[in-house]
Amino acid sequence: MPKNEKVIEVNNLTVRYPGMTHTAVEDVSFEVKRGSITTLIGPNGSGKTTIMQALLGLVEFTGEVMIFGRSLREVVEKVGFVPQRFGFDVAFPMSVNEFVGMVVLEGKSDQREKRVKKVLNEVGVGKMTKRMLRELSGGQMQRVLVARALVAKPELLILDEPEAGVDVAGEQSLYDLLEKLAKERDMTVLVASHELDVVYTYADSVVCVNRKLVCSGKPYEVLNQEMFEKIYGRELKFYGHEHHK
Amino acid sequence: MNEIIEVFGFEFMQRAVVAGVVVSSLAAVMGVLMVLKKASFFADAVAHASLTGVAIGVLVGVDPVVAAVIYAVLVAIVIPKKKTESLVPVDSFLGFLLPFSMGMGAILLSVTPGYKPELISFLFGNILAISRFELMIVMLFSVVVGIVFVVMRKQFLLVAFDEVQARVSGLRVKTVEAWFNVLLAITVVIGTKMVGIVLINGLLVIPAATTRLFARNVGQMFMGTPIVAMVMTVLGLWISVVTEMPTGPMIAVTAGMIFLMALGLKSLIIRLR
Repeated sequence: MPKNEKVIEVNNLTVRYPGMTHTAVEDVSFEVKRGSITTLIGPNGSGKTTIMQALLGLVEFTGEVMIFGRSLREVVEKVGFVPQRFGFDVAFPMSVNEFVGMVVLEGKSDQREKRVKKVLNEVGVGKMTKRMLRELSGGQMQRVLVARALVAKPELLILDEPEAGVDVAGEQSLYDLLEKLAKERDMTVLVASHELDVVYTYADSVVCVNRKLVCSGKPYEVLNQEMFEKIYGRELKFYGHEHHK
Repeated sequence: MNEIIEVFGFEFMQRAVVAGVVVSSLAAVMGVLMVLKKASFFADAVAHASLTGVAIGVLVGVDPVVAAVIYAVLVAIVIPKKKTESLVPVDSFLGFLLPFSMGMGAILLSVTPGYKPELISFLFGNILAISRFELMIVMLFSVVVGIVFVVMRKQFLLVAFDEVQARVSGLRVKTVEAWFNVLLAITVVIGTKMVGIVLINGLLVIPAATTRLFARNVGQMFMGTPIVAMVMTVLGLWISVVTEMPTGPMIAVTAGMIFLMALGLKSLIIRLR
């Protein structure tokens, strides 16, 4: 597969939730290239999560969303997802091993266990297989969520603000891990974030939204004072960034 | 000691124990997922609605349990559709269905000519009166529910635990939910034979809630819950027979007492740590 292949192609995406007078996302178009780490940025309520949900087929939308040139339903096994918030009962008695293995619905149990063990080792929580979910720290939980998304061997990983609930050191090590995994597995990564450091340090490209598309391209080419004002309002000052890819 | 064994020597008691052990363990396992899905109100609505099925069965001469199962399955298929239709919120719909179906069932039973079963036995159950034929029907439904549950257990768990992940994984969530609801409806109806419409939720919730206090993983939950349910049921049955108290309420009270003791024990363990 060529490097400039479009893994995600979004055209004129509009989402309006039932009962809402305004659109959550309006006429957004962008693309994500194979092997890249792309960040989706914007303030709270800008539609980042909604865009991700549309990509994953979790909300109804108008427009076109293509993943690997097809509709999501046809390529669902190629996509992994790490949610922003736990949509589940963390207090329910469940081991890390069971949690990660739960999404592997086919195959024999010993093969499933091998896969789970391998992926947990990869994300650095290999010694926690028998620990209960509620016993994990925020950083450990995020790694376990990444492991669950990786266990099906996806070619595209979508993460919705994975740094939520993680301290600064944990955040950096999480993104270091994602960068390493993306390279090792030749995986495309789309990550929603509100951390601008993440954009400059790890991203190959950026998509900025504030309900509508504000900018897209290489971070150091498209992010400037004018763009920040459009995205976050006038109160945010742009100081540039020395380190970039 | 001899008295305890003697009680279990009676044929009616043996039938009750077999039905009780099978149905309570089935209900307990379903209850683990029902609690995860926060679907207690759904089970309650299906249980109450089943009285209309019972009444229709009596009226047209079909076995009441079979008629109630058919009716409850229909209700279980209709209720999830209300989730997606916003004209009436689902909790309001269930709030309507619960008294309406129960009232309708009671009225139909009262106008049915000839022999009809006591309304109270449906409200609070009467497992000691279970006949061989009824036991056979209960066992048949239990085997069917058990087999489908084992086949679909992974899908059921994923959908109940994390619906978003289930959808992202490409599962047809609505289909899986529909299967679960149908199995739950059948379990609820055969469970009402034991503890009645009013107390059935206890049979679904209490064993799971008790096991959850001590389980460390899903495997322990699914192994422990039916064992806890069996102990609760057999103990409740035995107490009801030796004290000559109503069986359904006694099973529910015994289960509740065991849960409270487990809660106390767990609190003590936490305090001593």
